[in-house]
Amino acid sequence: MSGLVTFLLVLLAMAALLRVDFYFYLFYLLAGLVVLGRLWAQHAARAVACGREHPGRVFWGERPLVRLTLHNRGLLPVLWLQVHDSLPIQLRSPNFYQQVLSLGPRQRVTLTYPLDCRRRGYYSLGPLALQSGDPLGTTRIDLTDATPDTLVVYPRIIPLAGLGLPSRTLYGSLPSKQRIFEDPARVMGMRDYAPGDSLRHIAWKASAACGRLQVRRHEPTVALDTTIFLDLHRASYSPLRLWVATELAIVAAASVANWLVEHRQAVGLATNGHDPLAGGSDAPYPPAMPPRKGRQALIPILELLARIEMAEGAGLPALLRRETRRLAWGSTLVVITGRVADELFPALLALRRSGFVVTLISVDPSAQFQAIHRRAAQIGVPAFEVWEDSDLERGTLAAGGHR
Amino acid sequence: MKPSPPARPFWLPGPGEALHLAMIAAMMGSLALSAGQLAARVVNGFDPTLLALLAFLLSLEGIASDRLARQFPEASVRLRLHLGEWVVLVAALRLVLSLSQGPGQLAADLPRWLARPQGLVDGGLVVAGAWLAATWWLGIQMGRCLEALGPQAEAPPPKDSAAFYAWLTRPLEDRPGEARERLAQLVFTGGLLLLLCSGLARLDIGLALSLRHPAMAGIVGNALLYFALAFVLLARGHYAALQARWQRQEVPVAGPLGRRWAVLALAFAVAVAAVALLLPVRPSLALFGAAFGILWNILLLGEQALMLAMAAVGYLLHLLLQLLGLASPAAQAPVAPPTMPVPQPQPQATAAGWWQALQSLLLWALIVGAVVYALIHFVRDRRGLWAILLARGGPLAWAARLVEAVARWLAGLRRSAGTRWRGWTARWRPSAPAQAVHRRLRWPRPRDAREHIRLLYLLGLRETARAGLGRTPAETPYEYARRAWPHLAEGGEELQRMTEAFVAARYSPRDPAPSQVGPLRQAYRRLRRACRRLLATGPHS
Repeated sequence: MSGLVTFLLVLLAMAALLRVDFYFYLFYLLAGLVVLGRLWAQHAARAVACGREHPGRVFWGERPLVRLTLHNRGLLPVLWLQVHDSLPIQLRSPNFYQQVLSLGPRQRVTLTYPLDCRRRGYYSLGPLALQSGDPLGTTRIDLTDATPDTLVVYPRIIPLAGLGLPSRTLYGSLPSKQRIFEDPARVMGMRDYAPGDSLRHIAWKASAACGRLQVRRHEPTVALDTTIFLDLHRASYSPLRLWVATELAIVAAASVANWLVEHRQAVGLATNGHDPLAGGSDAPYPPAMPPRKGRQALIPILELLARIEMAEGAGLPALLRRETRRLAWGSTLVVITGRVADELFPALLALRRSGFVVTLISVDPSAQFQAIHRRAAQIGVPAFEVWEDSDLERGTLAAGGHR
Repeated sequence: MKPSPPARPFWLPGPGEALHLAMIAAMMGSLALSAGQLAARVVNGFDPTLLALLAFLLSLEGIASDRLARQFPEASVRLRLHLGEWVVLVAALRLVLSLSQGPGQLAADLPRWLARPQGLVDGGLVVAGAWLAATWWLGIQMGRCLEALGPQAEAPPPKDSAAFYAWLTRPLEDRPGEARERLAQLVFTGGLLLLLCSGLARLDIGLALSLRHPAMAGIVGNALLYFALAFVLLARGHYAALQARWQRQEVPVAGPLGRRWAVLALAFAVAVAAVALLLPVRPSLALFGAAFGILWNILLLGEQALMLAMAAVGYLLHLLLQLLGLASPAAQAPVAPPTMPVPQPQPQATAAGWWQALQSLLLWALIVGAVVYALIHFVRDRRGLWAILLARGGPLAWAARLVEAVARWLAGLRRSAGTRWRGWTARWRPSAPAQAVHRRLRWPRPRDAREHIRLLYLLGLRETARAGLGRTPAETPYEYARRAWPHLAEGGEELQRMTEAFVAARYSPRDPAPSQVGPLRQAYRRLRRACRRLLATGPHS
């Protein structure tokens, strides 16, 4: 408040010159209102403790509630308090939450607001800014709570109708049409003996009951020990569809991983994107996750997919060469990339020859996808084209075809 | 069936604001009281209560008339309004100054004024008038600050309209913040004036010059009232400024913050006052006394040192002059002081009795004319107030009816006098048909924003007609605007804007917002400038 100090000084001088007792009292009163008002505002505002509560990890499309708790720990009331919580624009529009309130002594107030999680990501919430003041407006107190607080929004998971991935791994839990993968632990019926049948498969009790030789029929099954190779190299995507295509690639990876885990298969992930949490690491990309079964395997994959970003580092062929060394023979590799470059085919052929089962998914196909599909088929690699989310919903990956 | 009370005039405050305006008026009353107390030291038997009461009423009246005047686009109308107001106020002040010295003084003054009308104006009236003018101005400025601190009149347009984006991206002004700062400055200025007057009213000047006068105890009631009200106003102003900021930033406010603010601020002020009362004053006085003593001694020492130095320099100079032989050894004879000429008594000029009577008559005619004119307009400008008072009933309605009757009677008197005067002068006036064209149009006084917009549009039409672009009776406003646009250069846009506002004000069932009037007034001024420029450069083809 401009002029207040001058006024007080003149008042004091006047009180001293005119020697009027009341003027001194007036000076004490006005100076007290200013000084004690400031002290009150400062003391009361600093006694306010604040905290933010939220689920921490949410799935795409959820609307989690954030609870801001403000607790006045002091005995002085807070005359007014403006709360301003800064938020990422992807989670809320406008990208803040504001409220003005007054807090009594020892009062605790909880403010609640929703977030709209429609973009996967690793977000930091805050800082929470508090503003307060005195009754005359001579001072303004600004406090900031910049405690690190993060929220992970998992990528969208689209329930797949099916997944047409070939496999060479025996004794799994997925039924197969290839008779060479029969599982002796899964008996599915009997038939008459034919020459050439193994004597170990003869069901002696059934043969005795029927009066002729019967052999057990076994269900053919395979195991899908799958590793998803997600290509997030900037050069792999056309500039026009850069953002859409990379997001689609991440959604496809998350959906495939989820389908595999739901079908009790082991799944792993390797990517050449940039992980913001691995900022200090010298590695060009985050460490690959080896195939594992169960929910415990899915959650780390989803977290990495939530925060992963495009990068300029290693390309997909280099990633494949380096990360397939540790994989078992017969593993299934799902390669998700944008534009399929010519130099990728020799790498895929080499993997095929090494005993891996490779599947190619392109999320940023060029006009020559037919040619890519044909060329991939020549080296024994099924190729899928995913243009948008609805392709995943329609079961494009199950049909094993292209648009 | 009881008739519904008439709508509140725009220049009258609402119930919430009325309390704040009454507080400002009370502060101004306190200020006038302190000046009156000072005057009581000079004028024996002067009672400052009536002066304080007048200042109270004057502040309220000033704030209302300021709001009224700001609605008129023409400076001449505003000037006339304030002139009328001030004539009434000066007349009231004259009466109050005499009454403040007792009814006997008024009885003694009346025949004196009748005999010598120029005696109405004396030093006391000038000083009191200047002081009241300052009070009046201070009250008006504080009222404006309160007005700026009030809720924003401008409501956001609908969210699906194109205007919403413009409203959303408008530059944010901190008008309430500035108003609060200004209010604080005004309060402090008034407070210092009050304290100075109250202090001087209690001070013995003779003792004060010695800086050894005794301390004065006791409460200065009007100062206490002034600062208590000032605290409430400033706290309220700060809250209003914050509220406006939150409103602008669309920050929701939880719970009854306003009530809690009031209670806490009041409790805080009472607590601080209690603490302040416990503090001792004498040590502070002693401290300042000691400081003054030290300062005084330093000044004395400095003075003595200066005298000593001057004496030394004088002695050295004297020695030097003696050495050079320039100094005359004989002491100069004392020079007799010059004698002042004794003023010769001037012979008193004896004016003729008829001349004095004529002078008095003329002066009184002027005074009565001015007062009647001002009274008529004073009453006419406040039609809404009288209507409200009449609707309420009671003694105030009687007073309002009386005032209206007096004003009507005076207006009739003036009309008949005017008719006679015109009839008398018509004999010598040559009949000129061209005068009918240039006759000044008489506009009805706008009472609300709708009438105001219509008036501005008609004023605009008058200007375009003067520029040779008169509107034909068959033309609709839009047709006329389209036709006149190419001739008016930059004024065409203003005419179009005024036309749109006029059509909306004329035909829309909804009342236009008072905030529309200001921009339209600016548009009218620009149109007038364009018309005058057109008139100066000649008509376009």
